[in-house]
Amino acid sequence: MTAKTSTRTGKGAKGKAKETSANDSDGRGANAQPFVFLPPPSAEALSVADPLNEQGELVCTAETTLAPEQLLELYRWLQLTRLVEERLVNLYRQTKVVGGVFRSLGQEATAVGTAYALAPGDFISPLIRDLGAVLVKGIRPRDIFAQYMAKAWGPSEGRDLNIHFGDVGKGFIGPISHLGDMIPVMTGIVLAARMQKKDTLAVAYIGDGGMSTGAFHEGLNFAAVQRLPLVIVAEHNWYAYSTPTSKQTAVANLADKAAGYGIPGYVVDGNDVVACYEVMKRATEFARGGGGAVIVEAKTYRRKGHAEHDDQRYIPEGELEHWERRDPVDRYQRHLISNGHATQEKLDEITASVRREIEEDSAWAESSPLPDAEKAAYNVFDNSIVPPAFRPKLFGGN
Amino acid sequence: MSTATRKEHKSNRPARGGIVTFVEAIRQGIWEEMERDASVFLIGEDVGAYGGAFKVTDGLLDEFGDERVVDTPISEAAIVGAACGAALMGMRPVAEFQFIDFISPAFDMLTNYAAKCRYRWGAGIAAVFRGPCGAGVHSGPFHSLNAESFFLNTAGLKMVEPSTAYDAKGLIKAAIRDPDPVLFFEHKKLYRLPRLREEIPEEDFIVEIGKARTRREGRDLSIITFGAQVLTALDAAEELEREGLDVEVIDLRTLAPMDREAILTSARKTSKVLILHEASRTGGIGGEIAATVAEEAFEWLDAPVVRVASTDTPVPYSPPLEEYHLPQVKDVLEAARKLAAY
Repeated sequence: MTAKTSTRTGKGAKGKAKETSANDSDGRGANAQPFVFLPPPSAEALSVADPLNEQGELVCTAETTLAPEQLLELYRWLQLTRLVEERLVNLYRQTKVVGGVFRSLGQEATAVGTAYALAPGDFISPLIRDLGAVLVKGIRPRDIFAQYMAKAWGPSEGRDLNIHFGDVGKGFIGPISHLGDMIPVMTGIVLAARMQKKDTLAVAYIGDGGMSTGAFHEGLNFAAVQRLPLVIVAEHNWYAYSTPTSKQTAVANLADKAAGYGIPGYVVDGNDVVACYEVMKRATEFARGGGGAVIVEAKTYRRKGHAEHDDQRYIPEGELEHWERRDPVDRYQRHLISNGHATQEKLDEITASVRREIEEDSAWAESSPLPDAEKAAYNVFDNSIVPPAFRPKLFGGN
Repeated sequence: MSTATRKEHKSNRPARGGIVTFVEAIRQGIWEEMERDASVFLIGEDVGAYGGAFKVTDGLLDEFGDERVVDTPISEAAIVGAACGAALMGMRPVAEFQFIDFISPAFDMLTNYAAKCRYRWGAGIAAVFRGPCGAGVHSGPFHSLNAESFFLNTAGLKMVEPSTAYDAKGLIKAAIRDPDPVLFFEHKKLYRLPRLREEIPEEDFIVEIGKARTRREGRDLSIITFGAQVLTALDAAEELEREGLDVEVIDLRTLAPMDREAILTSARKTSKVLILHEASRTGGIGGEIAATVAEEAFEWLDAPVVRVASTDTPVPYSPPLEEYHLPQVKDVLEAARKLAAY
């Protein structure tokens, strides 16, 4: 033991009055208390201002760096998202969609606004309610239609459904149903990018439900420790299937969870597409600039059930009507017109072009055949090494 | 605070080839692959400064730096998930489970993410998930697992378990170069077993995944086994030879995709099959092997296919209990004699 050690608290001190200083290795100051109570975060949900126009109607935030043509592009993405989903519902009712249809009605601004703030080389892993982000990253509606209809021309060639596929070239990593799993995967994306000296940022979308999983914790904790540029977009849409957020977590804001990882958080109105873009700009600058992981909580609302079959019997009276009045597309349309960014005619023109694209892409997807049954055997492994997994013939027969 | 550590320690680069233990063979293989390919990196708990609980990754941090030798929190789901994400970016991760018992927290990431990516959208996860498995060293219920049958029913995961230093090096290199996810099981009892020391070539070599190896030719009876139980089988075969029984020992080496041809060829040759594995008997990989033999080689059989495996309990700690639980040479002898006399 050296003389220096004996001045420290702990074994060397042997009950004598302890001389301590702030830079002692155990970090105790001279006035250290025997214990300290750390209160829980406030039980108040954070809220942000509702921007109103001159008529007193709800619009979007006016403070933006977006250029006029970008504002119109945002409108196009919002409309494309909503109308692709409406077409999916039609196809579902015609029994052309063989699985479920999951809507993002009311949440489109969160997906579109946050994804629009990304660089082309950035990666996203969306939720099923982030179709807007998928489209912004360059996946075409035809791919989505073909996926839902289980067609051979879909990106997964009928092997998986909806947005469960990926396109590494476009920075799109589709989710799996175990949503929390995508946090570690996206952490790996940016861990690799750092080794490859790429300026790549990853965005993992997750909800109030997915944040309760163990994989979410493990992934975000690891990203935070490594100071990796991972942005968590925490979509607070109030329901995970039928379970309300109050039964999912004891925090008032999903962003409160950031404290547990030693990272910052933002809270934004998820129904304000401009605010979603602006907050994401700041979050990505922070993450990219060496700050590491960050949580952006978007407060929004899921206006449809978990999927089309869900009758939402668990929704309190009046809740849907409240959120209908905050509809992100209507609100943005009002914003553009009342602030003179666009005329109704211009917006109608955009909507008409969106409808044409959907018509074309939906027809393309419908014209695709279903996959050949035997294709089910392929691609478990690289088939140049391991043969396809055909149904075996008994007794070596044919 | 100073970043100096209490013990200054630097491990030398391993030799190329030479006379090596099982653990040194694996370390050589990983080291050479990291030199050969800049996209190969390590990720796991205590793999850096400490060199891993069994020192498989000793010295790699000093040589390749902390970007390529990544120490993680105690988070197996994060280790496997991050390896998957990195693989999607074109990297070749080698992820370590400190003990294979800790593969269970990553079960979801392996079976749902790593295993299904290629099938779902053509994105093969070229990653190795390796770690020490197996019992017989008094480590109790949580440091003794043989995990293969948990994953046997998942399409999309390759599984490898070598039993010699040569195969360990050749297979770890093949696993790192493989375009699909490989679970690489290293029986901890073999790591420093003097009996396994052998001379391996200086030049680069791999052992092909998916191919069994006949460790001993025989005419009377086949023992199908792998991992540390290969030694049990060889010891039993030697004893049986003195009794006039000529025993063949097949070392599977790869558990998935299994070398069914090698199993069937041996079964058709000897007409009597004994399957030996260290995981518990019920639901173990032996059932799959037995079914394959029953379906494909029934006419050649002169006796029922028999299994010798661990008893259906967790792995107990105390030596007499553990010995009872694990298959011993005497258990193989007894089964083989009955099979021979059938």
